[in-house]
Amino acid sequence: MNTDKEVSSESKLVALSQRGDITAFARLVQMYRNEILSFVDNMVSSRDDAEDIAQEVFIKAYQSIDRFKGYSSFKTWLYAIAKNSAYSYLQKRRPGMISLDEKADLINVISGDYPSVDTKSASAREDFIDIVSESLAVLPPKYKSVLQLFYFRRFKYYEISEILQIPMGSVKSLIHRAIGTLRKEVFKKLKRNPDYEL
Amino acid sequence: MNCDEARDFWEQSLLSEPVAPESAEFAEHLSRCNQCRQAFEWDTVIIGTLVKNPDIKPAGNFTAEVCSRITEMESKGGFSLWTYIKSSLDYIVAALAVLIMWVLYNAEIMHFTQTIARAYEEKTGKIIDVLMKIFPNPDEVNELISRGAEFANHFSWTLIAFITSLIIFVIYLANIFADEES
Repeated sequence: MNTDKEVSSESKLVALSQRGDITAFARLVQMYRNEILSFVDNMVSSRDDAEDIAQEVFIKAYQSIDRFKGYSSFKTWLYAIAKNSAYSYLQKRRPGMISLDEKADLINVISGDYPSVDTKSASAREDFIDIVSESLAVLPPKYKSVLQLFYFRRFKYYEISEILQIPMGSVKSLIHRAIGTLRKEVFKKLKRNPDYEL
Repeated sequence: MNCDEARDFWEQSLLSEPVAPESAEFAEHLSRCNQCRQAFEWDTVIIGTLVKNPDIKPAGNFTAEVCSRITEMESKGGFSLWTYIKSSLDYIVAALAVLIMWVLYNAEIMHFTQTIARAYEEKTGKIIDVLMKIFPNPDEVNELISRGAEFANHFSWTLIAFITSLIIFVIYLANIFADEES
C-alpha cells in the first residue's frame, strides 16, 4: 500500500510527466515496472512477450498521461492499461479465448473429495504449491488477473472494478468463481498424480 | 457450527481477507471434522501460494529502453499536433469563449432585445399603448422605457454569458467522456 508521502511524490512525478518530463516518467517506470511485468506475465504466460507488452504499457501510459485526470490512482490507471494490453495480445494470439463472461464449471467446495495433502511435511507442501502454481497458469486470464489483484496486490474491490472495467458488484463473484475454478484445476492435477490418494 | 456453516464462514472469509479467520467456533469445528479440516488446509495452501506470488524483475535496461522508445517516437513526430490540441482543449475552449464575448461586446449587438422591442413597437404600436393605459403620465412611460432598455441590455448580456458557459460546460463534459472512453 502506498503511503501519503509516496502518493504525493507520485502525484508530482505524474504532473511533471504530463508536462513532458521524461526523467520524471522514468521514475514512475522504475516504481511500477516489476509489478506491471509480473501482472502481464501472469496473464500471458510468456516471459519474452510479457516484457514487450510491459514496455508497451508504459509507452501507452506516457502517450496518454495528459488524459489522466486523477479520478483513480495512477497505479490503478496503469494496471487498467496493462490489463487492456494483455487482453489485446491474447485476443490476437488466441482469438475467442477471452469472452466477457468466462463461464467455467464451478466447483466451490468439493464435498468430501479432497485428496489428503500432508501440509506439515515441507516437501509435500512444496509439491502441492507447485501443483497450485501450474493450475494457476492454466486459468482464464480474467481469473488469473482478479486473483493476483486481490490476494497478491491487495487491491480493494472498487480498484479491481476500475482495472478490469467490470461493475463493483461483479468483483466478489469473479473472485469466488476464480477460486472455485482454481480448486477444480488443482483437483484435476492431483487426480492425475499417483502420489496422491483420492 | 456444522459443516455447511463452517464452509460458508470460510468462503466468506476468503472474499474479505486472505488470512485465516479467527473464530473459536470455526476452530472447534475443524478440530472434530476431518473433511472440513482437509478442505481448509487445501485452501490455506492455495491462497498462501497466491499471496506469495513472487515479483518478476525485468531486464536491467527496461526503463532505459522504454524511455529511448518514447524519445524515438517523439523525434519521429509520433505525438501529433492533433494530440497536442486535444490535450489543450480545455484552455482552447476557455480562450474561445472570451474571444466570443469580446467580439460581441465590440460589435454592439448586445442591444438586440432593444432592437427587437423597437421593431415590434414600430410594427404594432402595442407597447406604448399598453404602457399609456397603465401609466397615464408620459414622463412615467419615458422613464419606464429607458429603464426597460437598461434591463434589456443586462438581460442580453446574461443570456449570452449563460449560453457561452453552457457551451463550455458541454464541451468540457464531452472531453471528460471522451477520456473515459479512451
